[in-house]
Amino acid sequence: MAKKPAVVVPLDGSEIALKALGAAQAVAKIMDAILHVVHVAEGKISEDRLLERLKIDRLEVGTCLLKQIAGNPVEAVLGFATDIRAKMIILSTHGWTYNRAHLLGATGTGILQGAAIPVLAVRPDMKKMPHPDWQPKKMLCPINGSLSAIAGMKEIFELAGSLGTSVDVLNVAVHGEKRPTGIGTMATSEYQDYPHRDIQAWAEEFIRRCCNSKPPSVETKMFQRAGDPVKAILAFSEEHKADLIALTWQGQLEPGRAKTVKGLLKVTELPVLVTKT
Amino acid sequence: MPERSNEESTTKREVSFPLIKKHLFKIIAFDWDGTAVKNRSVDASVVTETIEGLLKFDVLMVVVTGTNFQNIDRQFSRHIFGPHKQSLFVCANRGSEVFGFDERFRPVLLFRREATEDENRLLDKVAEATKEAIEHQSSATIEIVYDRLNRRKIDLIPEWQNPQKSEIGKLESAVQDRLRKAGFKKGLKGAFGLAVDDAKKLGLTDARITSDVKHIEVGLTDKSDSIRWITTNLTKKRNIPFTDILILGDEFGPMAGFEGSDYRMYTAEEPGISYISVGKEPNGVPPGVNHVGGGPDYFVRLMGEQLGVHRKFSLTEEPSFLLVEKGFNPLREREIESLFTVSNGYLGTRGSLEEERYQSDPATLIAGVYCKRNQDLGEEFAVAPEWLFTEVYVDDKPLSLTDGKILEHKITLDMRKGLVHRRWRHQDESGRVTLLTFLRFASLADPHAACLKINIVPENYTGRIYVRTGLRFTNKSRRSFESLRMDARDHPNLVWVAGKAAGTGVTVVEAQATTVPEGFVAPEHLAKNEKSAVFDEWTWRVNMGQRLEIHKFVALFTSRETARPEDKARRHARHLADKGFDVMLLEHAQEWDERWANAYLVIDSDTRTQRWLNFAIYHLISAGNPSDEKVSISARSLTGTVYEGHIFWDTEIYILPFFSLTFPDVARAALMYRYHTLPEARRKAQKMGFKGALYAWESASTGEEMTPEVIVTSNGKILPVGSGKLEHHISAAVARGVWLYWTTSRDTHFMLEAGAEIIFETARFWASRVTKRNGRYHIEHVEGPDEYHEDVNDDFYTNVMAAWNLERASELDAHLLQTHPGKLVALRDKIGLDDSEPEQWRNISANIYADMTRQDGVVEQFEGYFKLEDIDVRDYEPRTAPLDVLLGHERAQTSQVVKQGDVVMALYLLEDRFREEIIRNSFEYYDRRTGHGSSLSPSIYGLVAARLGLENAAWKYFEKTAQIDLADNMGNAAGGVHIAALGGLWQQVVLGFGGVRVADKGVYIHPKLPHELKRLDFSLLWRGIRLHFKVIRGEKIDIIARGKGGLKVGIFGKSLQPIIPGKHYVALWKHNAWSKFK
Repeated sequence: MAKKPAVVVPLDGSEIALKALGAAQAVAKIMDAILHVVHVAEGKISEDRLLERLKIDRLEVGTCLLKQIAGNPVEAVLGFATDIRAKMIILSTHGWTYNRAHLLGATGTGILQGAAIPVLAVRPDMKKMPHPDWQPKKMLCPINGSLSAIAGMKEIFELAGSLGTSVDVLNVAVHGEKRPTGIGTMATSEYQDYPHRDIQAWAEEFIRRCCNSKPPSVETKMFQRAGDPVKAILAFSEEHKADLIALTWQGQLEPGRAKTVKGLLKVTELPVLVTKT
Repeated sequence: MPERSNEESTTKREVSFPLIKKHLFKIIAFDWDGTAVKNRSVDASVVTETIEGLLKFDVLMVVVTGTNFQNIDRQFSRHIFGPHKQSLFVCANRGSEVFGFDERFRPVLLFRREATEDENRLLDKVAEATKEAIEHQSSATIEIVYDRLNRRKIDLIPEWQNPQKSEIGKLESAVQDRLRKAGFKKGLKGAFGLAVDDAKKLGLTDARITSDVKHIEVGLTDKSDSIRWITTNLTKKRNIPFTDILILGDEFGPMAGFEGSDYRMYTAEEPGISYISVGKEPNGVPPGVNHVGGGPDYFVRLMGEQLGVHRKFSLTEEPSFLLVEKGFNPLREREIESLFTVSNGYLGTRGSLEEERYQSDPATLIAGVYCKRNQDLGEEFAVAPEWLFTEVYVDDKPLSLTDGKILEHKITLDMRKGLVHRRWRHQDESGRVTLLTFLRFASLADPHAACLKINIVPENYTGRIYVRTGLRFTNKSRRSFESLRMDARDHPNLVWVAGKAAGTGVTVVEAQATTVPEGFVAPEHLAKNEKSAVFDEWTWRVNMGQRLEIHKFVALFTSRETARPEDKARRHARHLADKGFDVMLLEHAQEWDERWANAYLVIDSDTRTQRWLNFAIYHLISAGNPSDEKVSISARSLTGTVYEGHIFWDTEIYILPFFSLTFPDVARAALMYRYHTLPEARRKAQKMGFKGALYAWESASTGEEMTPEVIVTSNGKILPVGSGKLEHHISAAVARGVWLYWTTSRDTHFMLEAGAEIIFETARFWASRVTKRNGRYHIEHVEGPDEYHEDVNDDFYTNVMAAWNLERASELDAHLLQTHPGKLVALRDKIGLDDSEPEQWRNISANIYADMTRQDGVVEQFEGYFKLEDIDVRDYEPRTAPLDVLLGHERAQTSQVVKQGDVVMALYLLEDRFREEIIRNSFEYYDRRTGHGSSLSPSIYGLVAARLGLENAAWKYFEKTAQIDLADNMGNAAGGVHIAALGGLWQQVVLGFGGVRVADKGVYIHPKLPHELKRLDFSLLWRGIRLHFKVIRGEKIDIIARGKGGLKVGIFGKSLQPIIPGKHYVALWKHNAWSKFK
């Protein structure tokens, strides 16, 4: 009998961190996965005490497994996720303190950057906070056509398949940026001689490049917008009623990097799923 | 054959072994001393270079010599470096040793006959016994040379060292004299006989006794051992048939009563081997040996001829004609397929992998064959069954680029010869390495033929290899065709497929015949029918290193050209197989040779830039079909399906100028397509309430409008497509195509039978299209080439082109009245042309509203254009998308941003009607406002910039245009190459940098080469006369005309001058101007 996949949600006992639990339960349900609730603290305590500390009702969380680990929170969570070969980490961007001026808490920053597996992040003040019965139907995936972004699409499509969503791929045309370079890059074509033919052809070629070995197994549509990427993505997500936003990235949050990831985490009302290329 | 002296000039002689010029030998074995070189001390650099040339074509070259390896290496082999050296072998010491070379070019001993101690002792004894016997019988002193591997040399005339081969006669006399004077009356023959007897007596079995007159040699081996090594290790092991072996020597025939030193290279046991003697052979040669004489000089000549044959059958060596893709990048696969298409104007086959992968998008497209999958969809290109389909299995496992390891993968497009060559070295999970090469072409000599040669070598294993190669209905072709039929027969071997294009009923039949050249490994063959494919399956049990080869011939016919395409295709496939691959390839390459001779464009610049031009010309030539008047060249030609094979204005404005000036038959045929689609053009005009002919914006087989009504934009909006309803300038474009062809060809027959009708009917359309207001004629609610602005009034381009169209029609009517009044009357009757119409055209033409030039010399693109939001496109650099995407559809419409040349295009096409100041000012104005959202745009801007002397802009646009398909960051070419952009590139170079203008009375030229081009050579055809131009920047223009008749050429801005064909004319650059031609 095939082993069930695993997903992980780290909780530190704060109400803020707890906001991610609903999304985690929903994802576990959709993927038929075992949900591991991970708490990093020194000194072992009983399960009941742990539930109390984490503010979790056992009946509500059902068959999730509780895990208490000592050590550095980031290393502990990532290490555990690796050990159990988790498919995803779901977390709240912040823990004990939430200051909107800070994009992520220290633990959130560390896990997001360090994770080799997809991370689904929810901002604690999101209006559309996923609950345990959340069933996303549409995943919005912005992609700039660079090689690294294209390389990450395979995983995005697999995730969409696991979550049961369709995928809207969105390319945002930007003024002020150079086209991505590199052999095989798939930026927007500079030429649309006959748009009624070229746009469809470009979209098909784009999707084909994203799926190296077989067609995507989920319904996929290709769109284009122009302007500031974050604003364009947000506007599109509203217009097309996306349920979550998925991004490929290189996992670095230093100044000047990951502008779109940062921008979205700051303002979107949707969960953001990031995968590292 | 009479004796010939080596000093005789070999250049004057005809090659007297014709096969050397026709047949590809794979193994060439040759004697060294006296055959390849005069002697072992001369400079061998010339023969070395020639032999090295053959090595580079994988010909196995084998030196067969009596001397030791070091002598050969010193004079010859050590001067060769490179991986090709591994194809060189030296059989030395008269059959006792064989040397090859490793990957670091070092000699490797492959074989040595090791004599036993007894054998060595016996050799000594036999030599000494013979010496003693002679010395006992005479006073002659005889010496023995001991230090030879496996042989001893009995020297009969020690005082004469190193005699030349040319002195053989004198040498023989000297030896005979010496022996007889010393008392050995039996002479040379007697000495030889003694050695033979002594060998027998002393028990030296299978002694090899030879003589070169100076010596009697007693040995264990001779040159027949070398040949045996070749046939065992090279021929059989590599599966090379005897017919592919050539052996050369200079002494096959008897010398001084003894067998010649090369006699043992000749064997009747291996029939099929070719033998040539370049020696004097005073006593003739054995039957089976071709005596050509001429010595080493002629040997070099023969090798040169053979090298020429290999060059013909191999890829071009000039790198600017080669497009190479190394490795395998699945992301780019579909782009590569477009760029590497092979086509002949009748059919085009994308450069797909033979073993289709998920990443592949294979397609064979046939000009004029469309399908219509449902009534709501227009006609689209029918994708024919894939004929490349080939799968190779090693012990039942298919070889795949994505399984195992790619040791080497390289695809080369030879644009000179229209070939695609693929080389793939694959290592499977078991470590087995297989080398596969494929060579394909769509024959330019026989449009219904396509060929593929497959070579396979198991490099390091022995096993079972089978190849399935056949015809397959791909997913796309199953959607294009219905009523699919397939058949596969063993005897006679033929497989074929047929289908009817959905909705149009055109039947397409492909038939295949495969052959396997003669070899030592006999394959099994089955013809099979499986799922959507029929194929030939060839199976071998092979040993390591044995070369396998399959020749595949595909014949393709449709019901468009024959009522019985099945019969024709099947018969033709067999005919192609009978002809053979080599003949097919030679004929195809010859056609390409001729096309390039007429269409070359040579610059003195870097290889990359020259390659850009060659790429453009390659695809243009590939697209041309001079034979079918019911097809034209679609916007992606036969390289891809993204535009469904539809014909746009691209053809007449961008593509046909190239053909009108190089291959007018193609232009004629494409214009006849427009003639045959006149009925639909008339219907469209009528449907829209106009008269005459309004050509479809996008047309297919019938000329019916194929432009869809709406588009779903990339941001999800549904917008109407205006082009089909509003871009009426296409009628003027077609008229222009006719006029340009007429100007450059003076094909009166075409004009009378077709061209005039097109021009009259398009003029009629314009006459009905205009609206008269205040004494002027306006054209309202149109779309010009700039598609960012739909539904405008008085688009400048449309208006001036309409005026031009009307003027041409009126002028043509007057001309025909003078020259062919009867034909004119008949045409007028046919189309109901009223007498008053030509006058009306003249009047409208003169009064069409085109006064749109501002005081500053800038032309207004359409009514109200200057009132729109002014946007400088440079403010939007850099950007990652076309401007209309960045700005949005609505804002683009309400701004001055222009998609592509509109005013600028008009000022190019009708240059002679505008002052330079207007052209310059308008160009500079629109240059800052043009987003170039169409691939059609940069070339025209580049052309106009070149003519204006705006060097930087011209070069910028040249580079931009040249890389539309060749740059690799847009996926641009995945759906097919942008053939119109390539035609635009050619125009930019010839008509822009070259400054060529064609006029009614002659050809003008005014080169303005940018500093990146020091030189420009090209050829044009003008009314049957071939003009060759050579331009040196800032220095001179050379022209020479070939053909019959008169013509006039002049510097643009000066008067035309008569040019006599055959004479050479020069114009010089002096005082910043071109002089007249002298």
